[in-house]
This record gives sequence, C-alpha cells and structure tokens, in this order.
Amino acid sequence: MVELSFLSVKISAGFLFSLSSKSPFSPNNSSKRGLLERFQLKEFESLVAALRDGDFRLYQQELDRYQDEFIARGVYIILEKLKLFVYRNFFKKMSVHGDGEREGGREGGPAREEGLLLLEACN
Amino acid sequence: MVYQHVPAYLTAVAEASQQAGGIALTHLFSYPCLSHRLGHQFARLDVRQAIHNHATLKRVAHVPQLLEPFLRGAGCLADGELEAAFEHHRGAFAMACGMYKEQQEEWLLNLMRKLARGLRLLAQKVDKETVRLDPIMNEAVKAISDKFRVFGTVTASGRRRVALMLANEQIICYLQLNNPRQCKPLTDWADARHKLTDEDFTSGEFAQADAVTYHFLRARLFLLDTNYKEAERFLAYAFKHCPVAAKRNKRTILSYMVPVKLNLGLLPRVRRRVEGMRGRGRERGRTGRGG
Repeated sequence: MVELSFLSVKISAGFLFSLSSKSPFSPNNSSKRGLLERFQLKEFESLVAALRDGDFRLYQQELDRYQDEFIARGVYIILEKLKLFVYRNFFKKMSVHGDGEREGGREGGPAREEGLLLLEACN
Repeated sequence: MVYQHVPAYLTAVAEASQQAGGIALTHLFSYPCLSHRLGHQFARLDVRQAIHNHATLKRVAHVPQLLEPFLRGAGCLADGELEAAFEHHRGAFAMACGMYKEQQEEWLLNLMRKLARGLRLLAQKVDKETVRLDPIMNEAVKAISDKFRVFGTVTASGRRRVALMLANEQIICYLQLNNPRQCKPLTDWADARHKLTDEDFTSGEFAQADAVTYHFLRARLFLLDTNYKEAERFLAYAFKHCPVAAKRNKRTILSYMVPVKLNLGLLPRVRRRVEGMRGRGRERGRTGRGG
C-alpha cells in the first residue's frame, strides 16, 4: 500500500515537474537555490553538511583544505570553535541511535562507548 | 576607458566636470583609467601649463586645482616613485576635503571617497614594495583622521556623511595594520556621540555604499571581540542593503555571515532535491532555520 502510494506520487510528480519546468516556479529557478549555492560558497557547503551530520573527520578535512582562505578572511578561529558543535551533534546522534535501539526491544547497545571509541579512532 | 593621450584625457575631464553628480569625473580621478604611457607623459611635461593651455578645462572651476596634484602623482607612479606619488595624492585629498568644507557639493563627496580610497591603496602598495620601518599606511590614516576630526566634530548632516566615509577608510586601514583597538574612537563617534541607529542609515542621510561598508566593518570588529550577536545584526543589515548587482560584495558579506550564524546555532537550509523525494520526509525534520 505504501509502495503503491509512493509510486503514484512519483508518477504525478513527474508530470508536474515536466509541466512546470518553464514556469517561473520551476525547481531550477535561482530564487529556490540556497544562498551558499547562489553565491558559490562551496567551501561552506561541505562544512555545514559535516556540522549537521556530526562528521568531525570530514569537518577537519574541509577546514584543512580551505585553511589559507579562511585565515585570509579571518574566520578560521571562528570555524575552529565550531568543532565543539560537531562533537555535540555527533553525540546527540549516537544518543538518539541508542534510544531507538532500546525502544525497538533490543538490548540497549553501548552506544556511548561505541561513540567514544569512534571518537578516539577519528582523532 | 583607458586614456592614451593628454589632450583626450583633459577633454574628458572637462566634459565630465559639467555633468551632475560627478560620477564620470570620479572615474577619471583614478589611476587605472590612465595608461602607463599617459603616466609617463605627465611625468615629463609641466602639468600646470598643460592644464592652463587646455581651452575648455581652464574655464572649469575648482577641477583644475584638484587635477594638478593628482596628475603629478600619476607621473610619479609611472616612474616608480611611489612615495612621491603618495605625497601628491595626499595633497589632492586634502585639497578636496577643504573644497567640500566650503561648498558641500555632491560631486566633491564622491571625489573625496575616491581619493581617500586611492590614498589607502597607494599606501598599501608602498608598504608592499618598499621596506620601511614605519609603514606609510600610518601616514595615510593620519591624513584621513585629520580630516575626520574636522568633519566628525560637527553634527550637521552633510558633515556626518563625510565623517562616516572617512571613518570607514580609517577602520579598513586599522584592520590592515592589525591594530583594531585604534578603531574605538571611531565606533564611539557613531555609537556614543551621534547614536546612529538603523533608521538614520535608512533615512537617506548617508550614502548607501557608506552605510553598507560601515555595517560590514563594524561586524568585523564585533567578530574580533567574539560578540557574535551584534556581528550577526550588522552583517544582516549589510547583506540586506547591499545592491543585488554587487554580487562579489554580497558574497564577501555572506562568507562572514555563515560562520557567525553557525556559531549562533543557525544552519543554512537544506537544498531540496527533485530526485530525493524519498528522503524528503527525513530531511524536513532536520531542516534548520536561517538562510
């Protein structure tokens, strides 16, 4: 049932997008694009994604990659401080994951310990 | 347009002097519009005599006086005498400030902005290419702050307009000199003395360019003090009021705004994907506020 409804939504969406592609409200319209994409701030796109997902390895990689640009701009220290937010998001995710396992009837996995191990491995 | 010959350039100056606003004239008072060849010509000939001999230009009021030190500076710049060029340019800037004080005309304000900016850029060039114990940028700041004192102490509307423009140039210089503490009197001038609010800036009293630059620079100063909330407020104003056509400036503002917003816990919106319909439900839960 769920699969069928998804299929019908997909088919109707296909017609809808093909019809509205020439209208000003098409998905490719610049106003619908995010500011980072519109102003070609690619260096921040991956940083934000890493911050949101709590992926500190990617965050550090991106920080190292654009280090010179950030230092020249004078925002490197600010971005360095954001690492704490990345760790926070990571632990939040681990905690949510652990709670989900407990609610599912499974034995509450040692999510916190796993997280700490992962943290050590990444650093 | 880049000029190659002296008569063509002087005729263009004479024509631009008759236009209102002085935008065309302001463009002519910049070194990039003079070719290297023309600069060498100005270095060889007697500039005062050349201006005096030009039939149209000699009838224009005030502009020939300003043009003389500027062209002498251009000649020195072409010969590679950077410090002499700086001195001449400083003379032109001081002269323009004196004239604005007497006449208060719009074209002089635009010209002053251009000359103040040129002075800073020239000082930057001198510091980059010559080895000096004391950076010449300090002298540029001194020249600008001398004029700032004249305009900043009076609360009349036209004077405040100039003072803000000069304050902006000074803040840029201090940031380049890695000496942001010196900006305290300038920020006090705006906050404590004149109590400038957003309404003052939107009322049209100040030029939009100056208002946007001021907000951007103040945000940078707040960033150095790790005052993210105020920095975000000033950057938001600068981004909102920066013209759409000035895409590069908007990008620069945004490159400061993103880290500040991230620090305040505001994440950019997740991009919507057409093909990602299946994951949209999941994504929607994670969408943050902010732009």
